[in-house]
Amino acid sequence: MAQEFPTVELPVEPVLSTIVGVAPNEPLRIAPNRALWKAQDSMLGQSRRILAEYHLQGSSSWAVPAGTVDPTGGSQVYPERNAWRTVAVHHALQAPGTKLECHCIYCPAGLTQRVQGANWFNTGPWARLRVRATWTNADSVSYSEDFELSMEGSEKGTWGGAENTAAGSDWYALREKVMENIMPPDFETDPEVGVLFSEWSRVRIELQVLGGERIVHAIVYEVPSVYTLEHDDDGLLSVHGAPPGNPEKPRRPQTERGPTSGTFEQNRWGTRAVLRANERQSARLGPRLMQWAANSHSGTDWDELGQVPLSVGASLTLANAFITSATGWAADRPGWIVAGSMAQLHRLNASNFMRGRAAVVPVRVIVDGLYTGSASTLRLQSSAYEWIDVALPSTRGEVVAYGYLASQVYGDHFAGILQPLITTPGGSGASIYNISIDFCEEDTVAAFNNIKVLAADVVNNNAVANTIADVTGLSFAVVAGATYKFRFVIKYDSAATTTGSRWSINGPAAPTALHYTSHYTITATTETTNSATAYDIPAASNLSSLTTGNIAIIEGFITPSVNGTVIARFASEVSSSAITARAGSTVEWSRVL
Amino acid sequence: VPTRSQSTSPEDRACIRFYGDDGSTSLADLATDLGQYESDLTVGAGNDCVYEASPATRFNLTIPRTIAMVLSVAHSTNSTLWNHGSGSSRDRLRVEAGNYEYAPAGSTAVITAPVPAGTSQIVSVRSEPNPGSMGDHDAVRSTLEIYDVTNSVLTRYTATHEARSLPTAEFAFLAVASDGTNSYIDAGGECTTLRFSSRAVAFSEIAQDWIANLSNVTSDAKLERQGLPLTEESGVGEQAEFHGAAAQLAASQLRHVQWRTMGPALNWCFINNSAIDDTDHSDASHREKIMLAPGGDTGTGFRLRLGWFGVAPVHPFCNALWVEVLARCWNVTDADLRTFGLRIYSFNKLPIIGQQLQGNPGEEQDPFDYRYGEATFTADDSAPGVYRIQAVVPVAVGESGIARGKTYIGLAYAMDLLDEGAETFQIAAYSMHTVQMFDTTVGLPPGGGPAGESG
Repeated sequence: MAQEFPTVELPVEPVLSTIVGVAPNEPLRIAPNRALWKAQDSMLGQSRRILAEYHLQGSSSWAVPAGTVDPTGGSQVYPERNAWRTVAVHHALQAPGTKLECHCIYCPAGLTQRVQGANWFNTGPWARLRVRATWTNADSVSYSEDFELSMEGSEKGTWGGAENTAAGSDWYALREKVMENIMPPDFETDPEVGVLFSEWSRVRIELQVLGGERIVHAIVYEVPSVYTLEHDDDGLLSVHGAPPGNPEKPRRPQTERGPTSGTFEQNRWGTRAVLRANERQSARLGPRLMQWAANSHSGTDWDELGQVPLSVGASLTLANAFITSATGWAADRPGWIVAGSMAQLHRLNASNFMRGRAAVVPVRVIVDGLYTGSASTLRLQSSAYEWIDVALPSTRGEVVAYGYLASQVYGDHFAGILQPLITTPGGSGASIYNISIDFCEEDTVAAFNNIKVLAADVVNNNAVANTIADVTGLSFAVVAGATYKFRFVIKYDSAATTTGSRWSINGPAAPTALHYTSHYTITATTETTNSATAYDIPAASNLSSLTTGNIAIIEGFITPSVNGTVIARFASEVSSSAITARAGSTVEWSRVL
Repeated sequence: VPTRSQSTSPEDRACIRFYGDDGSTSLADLATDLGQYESDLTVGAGNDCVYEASPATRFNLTIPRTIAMVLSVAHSTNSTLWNHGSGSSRDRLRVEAGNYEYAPAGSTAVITAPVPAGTSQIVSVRSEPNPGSMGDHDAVRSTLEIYDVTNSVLTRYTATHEARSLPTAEFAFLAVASDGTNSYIDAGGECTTLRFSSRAVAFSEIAQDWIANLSNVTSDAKLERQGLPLTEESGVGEQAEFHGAAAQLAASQLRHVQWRTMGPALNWCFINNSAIDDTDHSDASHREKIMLAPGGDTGTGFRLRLGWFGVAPVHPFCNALWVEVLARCWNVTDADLRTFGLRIYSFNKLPIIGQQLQGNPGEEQDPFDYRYGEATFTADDSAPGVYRIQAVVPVAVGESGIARGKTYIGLAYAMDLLDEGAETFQIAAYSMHTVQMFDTTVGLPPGGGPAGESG
């Protein structure tokens, strides 16, 4: 096939930036030796990796209606004005010293509605995009924050919010916005905060939309920010940088007897610091290999319950999740490319090992999905010899797996085509919501928190007061002898303020050890508190709730004696007066022993 | 230890603690160490095994470690393939009741996998630190890989487990049973190749050595393959991987690290891959999202779709994108050959007339700039082939405002490019990859490359 290129001059002046005081892409050339000898404190400011995205994925239309139907009437046609919809959930190992930005390309939004009684009403055309970022550092310290941007509505059509119709007109209506400074508050200004999240934070990025969004492409990506060290021990750090408490972030060369030496670790001087940082980075720093979120942009894909997953029917063989007629891996089928050429490791890819003809990269895979029926496996395969199997859970949850994937050897090498294959022996199918794949030989958070999100409301409206029942779906599997840390965070509604509740857990019989506490709402300023060593504690419900905005938190440790499932439980104080555990509630757990 | 050249031969790698190859079906050959140590094993008294006669420091390791064997399998008899260590610290791979069983640090198997049908097999056990370890109980991740040479099928099993304690000196018993039970060779099996490595060896490397010797890769892309970073604990390096003065090495390593995050720009596999046809330009359900691409003609020119368009930040060292598109194009009406085209564009800002001229308020008005790679081809009837388009496209990067440091990437199509017929044509795109690279063919800028390479 012929390849033709316009006769243009290449931009052969790529530039390098530093984190400290220099904006991205400002010319600053750092030759290696000069970097070593003169700029020991300059940061590695190259990372521009996309960590999360939401886009049309080839669709010819958006799922939200085009605005040609009267929004006033007896049925819902358009998104409800207050219902946020999750469209992607991605995890990443964030490069040291970076913050995040979001770039969104979109067309003016469609209509929204509200319901009053039995009727729906027009609440105008508009939309919002929200980035819900949760950072967790190596000490399992977490911080979560929401960042939002608005997208103006279309003024077209009888009721507003109509999509364009003329040839190419959506292109000419395109808008774009950027959200900057997606980071924990005071990350750049308060050294005490900066030091918490500078070193290899893991970030969970949830993209949510509200209203009649017409997004073409939204990305969340890294940009250099600032790196703060805590000079209090001899920990292994991946970047050498400026100490806390010094807003000037001195760029002068540091000496072993630096201005604050004595009790501090010496991360800021000499080849030792550089080499130690590089050694750490070689095991953790590489390209972001892929992220994918299920959004078909068809039918009811704007449904307020959130993402419509990619569903795969029963298959005894490895069925391609995207091309159901295909089975197994083949080099000429579509997929994602494993572009890891720049992150090849000597210990895996030295030129005399695979002769520069093949390459592998170590990766971490996080899959959000479930199976129905019997156990199913998602295989992410990138060559005839390399793949990673991910055992899907029975209820929706995020599963972590590690392994190797075949990669490009060079950036222009046709190799490493990653394809998703699913086998459901004895089952009826599987559903995949999100996939994230990072370069990773060493993970950054030893006790990785698994998380499961309640997909739909669960109601306890039992005719017998105080009858405890499962919060179906808010559970996790455990094996005998292991010890788990868990934390349920459940948002719930009550049919009346005079209807109280109780919240607890159940699990495999006769646990070897069980310790947990629970806290849940009485009024806006008071809560019920319990400590327990047995299931279904307390026995009685409290006496009141808010109608909305209640929170129940149950956290503790369990060491089961037999395999089984730990699940949240709840009861209503009043017969036939509903307590509703709301969709979006979570359980996070990790095995600690 | 003799100095070995680090050749591409499977036995010449510095990580190899033992390499035996039964070239003439002789156990004496299998016991002969072809690796760097040139320290042979001992053939068992019953002429049924090879083993280390006394504790050897070369086998004094726990993880990472890979033991790979080429076998002729005895399916029906229980036997031991290898032991590493002795007593309670022994790692072992056995055939037991029709299964391979891997039992680290004692007798409890953590991996049980059926022995494949084919007689000729390659079996590898790789043990390495578990990246997601949450404590001693899962500190090690072991992977058993079995390649059925007869049927060309690879199976893989993984488990995590605790690390075994390291004795002061290790024995290695290969293709034997040290516990007095059936040896593997006595049981009817035959081991023809043994390799004991002190690092994690991915199966791709084993395949390159013993299954499929891939051909050379040609490339114009700059490659920064990072070596082993030197640390203050590093010794001289018996693997000869450390070179030069520490300062020079540190400088070199820094440069390598600076390139590490260069990877994909847009890496898309389209879940929405329904075909569009040439009438979609005027179809009310599509036309608003299809725009004539820059440089195209109004009639049969290239058109951009919103579904194939996005934005990506650009690594500071990137000067080109390697692009790859997998698509199908065909003539629905009849079997007449017609010309189709695909282009991948890199724009420095939104490719919208008006916006590209005006710029955003308060910003510099960067001149609109774009590059593209193009492929044209003929397609015939409704039994289309799949086209894979690969090209290197110079990257156009925004310089100011919202587009600063970013490129906008779009896939464009043209159906019946030469306007030869009135048939209906269709095109479906399945995946689009754009990989950031530094194209070395364009030369380095004055003063050197982005990380100080000499021009």
